[in-house]
Amino acid sequence: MTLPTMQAEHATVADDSIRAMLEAFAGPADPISDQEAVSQKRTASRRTLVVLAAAVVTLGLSVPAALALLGQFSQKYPDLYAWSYELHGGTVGLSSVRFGGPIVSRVAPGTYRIDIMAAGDMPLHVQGPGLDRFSTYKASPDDTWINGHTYTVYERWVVRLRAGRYVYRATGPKAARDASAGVKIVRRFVVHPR
Amino acid sequence: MEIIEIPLAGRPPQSDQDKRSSDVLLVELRSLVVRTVRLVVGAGSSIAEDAAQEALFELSRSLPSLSDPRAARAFAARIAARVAIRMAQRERRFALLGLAARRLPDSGSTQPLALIELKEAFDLLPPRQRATAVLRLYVGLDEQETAEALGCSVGTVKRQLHDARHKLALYLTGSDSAVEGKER
Repeated sequence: MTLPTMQAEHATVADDSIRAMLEAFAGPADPISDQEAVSQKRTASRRTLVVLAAAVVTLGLSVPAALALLGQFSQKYPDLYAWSYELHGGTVGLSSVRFGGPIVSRVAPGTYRIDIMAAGDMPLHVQGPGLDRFSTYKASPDDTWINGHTYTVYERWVVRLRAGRYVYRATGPKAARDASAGVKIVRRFVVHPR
Repeated sequence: MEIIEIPLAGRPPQSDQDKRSSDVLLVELRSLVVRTVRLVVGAGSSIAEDAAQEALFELSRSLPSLSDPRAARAFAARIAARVAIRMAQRERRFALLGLAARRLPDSGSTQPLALIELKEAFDLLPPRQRATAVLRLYVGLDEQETAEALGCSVGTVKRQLHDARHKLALYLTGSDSAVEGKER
């Protein structure tokens, strides 16, 4: 194969070459499962690390000062709602409004109260900088995974979300079966200063 | 045992037969969607695999609204292209911040060098040009179908493919800096 197929005035690559490359790199018919932690999904360059370090230092200095000025050192945390449940067309979601509400993909850093609703056989797993937590697994021993969920687990977490990328997913055998059927069981959100 | 049934919002209840035919279609279209998204976002990237899963999810949600099964292929291509372009554009923004997606181990390393170089050049193309090339040359849609999938005119499809071929040649012959400068 000769790459590229050059012409005098107009350099171009032949369709056959592009097609051959696409076929070579098309890969398997199913998404490749990536078992790495979400924090390793991106490789940060030195420039990014410097920017992040500067952002952390700036936040560390400015946020407490601003809060002190505003007199907001109270225990009132903003609410988030996370679910691992077949709800409104999705299995997992995170909303700032309600369960099944509009899904957020970006939140500001800070401490949040997260209300969790999870099917007992489909615990929610939230993972990201400084956080790696599951909701309670609660299913009866005779559960056949067919007729619905045995229990619904409600929990309230108070967590500190730091700048970075977080992933949350439904876990358990039911979730694995949903994933193989093409249902989205993993979502992510970014914690980033506005 | 308490059974909780929560209907999915905005979707009419499906009969068993509808559900079975949707499942069959989903299986048939699975490889098309996964491979299209993977090639547009960038094969070998963990983000491409996430995008492929997201496209499958969107397809499974949208399939019940498909009235003509003969249009299923173009329908799936449209969803795959939409998701892939969105993810690829987001990846370009992350790349500008220096946050490159992690590569999957051993992705394509056994391919001939010429193909690897061409693939690396292909990944530098703008997402819409990549999508056009994949839909036309890999999926095999005609120009009209590609235009409908991408929501543009046939003329735009022709131009995108022409530009893609031209830029690939420039990248491969070492004039990539000039082309890259124009892209940004």
